[in-house]
Amino acid sequence: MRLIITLVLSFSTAAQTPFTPPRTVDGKPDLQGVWETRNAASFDVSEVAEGREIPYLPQALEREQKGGRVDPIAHCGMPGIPRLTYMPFPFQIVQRPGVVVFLYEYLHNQRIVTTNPRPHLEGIDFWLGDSVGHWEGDTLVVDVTDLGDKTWLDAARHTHTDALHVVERYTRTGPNTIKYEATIEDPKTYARPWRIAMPLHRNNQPGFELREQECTEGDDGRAIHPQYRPAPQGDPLEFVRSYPAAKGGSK
Amino acid sequence: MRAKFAVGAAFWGLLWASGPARAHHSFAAEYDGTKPIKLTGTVTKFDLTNPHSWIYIDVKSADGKVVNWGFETASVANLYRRGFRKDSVPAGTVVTIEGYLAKDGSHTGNAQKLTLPEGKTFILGTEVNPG
Amino acid sequence: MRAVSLGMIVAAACLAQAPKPYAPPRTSDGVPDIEGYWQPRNNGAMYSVLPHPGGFFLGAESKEGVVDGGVLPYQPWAAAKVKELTQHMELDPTGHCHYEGIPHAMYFGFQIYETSKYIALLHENMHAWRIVYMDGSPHPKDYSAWMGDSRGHWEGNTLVVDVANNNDKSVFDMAGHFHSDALHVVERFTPVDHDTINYEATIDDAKVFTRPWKMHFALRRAAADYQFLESGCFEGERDQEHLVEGLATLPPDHYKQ
Repeated sequence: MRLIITLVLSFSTAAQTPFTPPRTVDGKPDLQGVWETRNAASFDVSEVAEGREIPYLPQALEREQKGGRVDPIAHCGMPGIPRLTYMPFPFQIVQRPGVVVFLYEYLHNQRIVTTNPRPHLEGIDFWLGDSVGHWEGDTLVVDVTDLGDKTWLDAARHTHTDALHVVERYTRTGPNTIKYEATIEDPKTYARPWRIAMPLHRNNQPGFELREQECTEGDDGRAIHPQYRPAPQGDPLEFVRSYPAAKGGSK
Repeated sequence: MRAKFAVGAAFWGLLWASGPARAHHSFAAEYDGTKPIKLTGTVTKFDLTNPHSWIYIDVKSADGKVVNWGFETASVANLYRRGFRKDSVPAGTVVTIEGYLAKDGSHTGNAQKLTLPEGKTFILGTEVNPG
Repeated sequence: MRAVSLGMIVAAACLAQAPKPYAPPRTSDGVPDIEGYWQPRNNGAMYSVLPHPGGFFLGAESKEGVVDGGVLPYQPWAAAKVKELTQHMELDPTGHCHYEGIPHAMYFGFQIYETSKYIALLHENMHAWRIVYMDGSPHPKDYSAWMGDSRGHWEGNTLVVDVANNNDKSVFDMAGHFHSDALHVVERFTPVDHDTINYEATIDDAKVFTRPWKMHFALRRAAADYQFLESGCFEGERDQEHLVEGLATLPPDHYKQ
């Protein structure tokens, strides 16, 4: 019964008992530690969306269905925000006065988020965008722009345009949890802003440490490691079509 | 504890700070420093990517044929710090690019400088080489 | 007369005193505070850690390099392999977007953040990061990585970082200077004034070198508001197409070793 109530309340902010978090030397809630998500959002982000659906504009859905079919992370593309948060890999938060640093195991990514607001960079796109943070009470708010249009929000091919704007919120809710929420808006893709929410769980295994995770290709996504080889010619799916099973037979 | 990483009015100044020169494969192995080229053409694409950006121009040869050339430039970070933006050189712009020819005979060069029709120039070079 | 003499003796004694060693500010844990953004001054080590001529696309000349003694003590078979690698630049791993490893990653700007249990180093190149565990924990077993594994402690004002678990694939520079998976690096970061850290790395690899060797260069504090910009390396790397084997060479005598 308690479990059900907790699940129901996870989307309703009003009913939660506020947790008094430990504080860093400059009086901010201490978000430090190794954190993980435990959900299926990396497969399909609508799993963690309010109302479990993404409010697509019809023309955006059409654009998406006619678009590329290869997940950018399959060629070592960076996952973008918020997907990087819910990739099934741990990340570590380091906190110092004026800055919150995220070290992600996935692709060895890093985000240095100032908590002294500054103007966003303009006229440029990055895979992880440009993150500017500030504190609202005990919540770290991270505003992310300049996300470009190359990333998918998950493996289910939920795409966006370069008008994407994400606002993340990190709030300690217990000794081993952070409530993570993100408001996602893109007026060229969605009819309205929509929200996702999920707990971040502290990894408490003694001696648990992040390890190196690397992905490398080059040449515009063509694999060149370990030895240089020329770009493939012709239909990249040819080897699949040549499988006996694909031809309807078996050998 | 002093906030060492506060960014304020000095922010715009940092745009001109030099970015990292990444230890990359040797350019001398790919481009020929004794073969400078200077081409004028119409921009077809400008990929702002890391570790290098690529600008492609359609160049008309003397016999009227159009050949698309690709020029490698600095990283996104370094171009941005020099004032470059994603709309600085839109497709269709006629530009002049000076650089060095690739050794492998392809229509490729390492770009050093780009000149826009009204005379404005951008340094696109990947490395600042005193020579 | 006697008073003047005494005054002169005291003054002379004061002048003869050695300058006080630098006392860096301390963190709340009482260890030296070396946080900040640091830019190495390293004579083009990314091209070669040894003295090397300059040249177009090859960077500025370096008369001294960064290696103590100006010689890399390669075993004869390894010295031959170095020369061979300079004729195959298409194999340079940084051209394939691999991590630079240690000490190579230290030739470029990085940031230091200190906490009670670990020190985080963030590198702009490759958006790489290192966590230097300061809690006395051991290196992991059965693990090798491009950036190795770092465990550190303080010796007086010097941060000593022990880097093990290195793979055999990263390289020291672009001049064919390679190592094996026996590579073991001990770094020493010593602040000498508010804006300078002396960086020294001792390299030990008994499979490839005849003895350990050292490199050193200064790290200078850069502007506090310098902002890292995203620096991935997977998308715009088109050069391998053009680095055709045989053409991808350096002049064989370009680097002395």
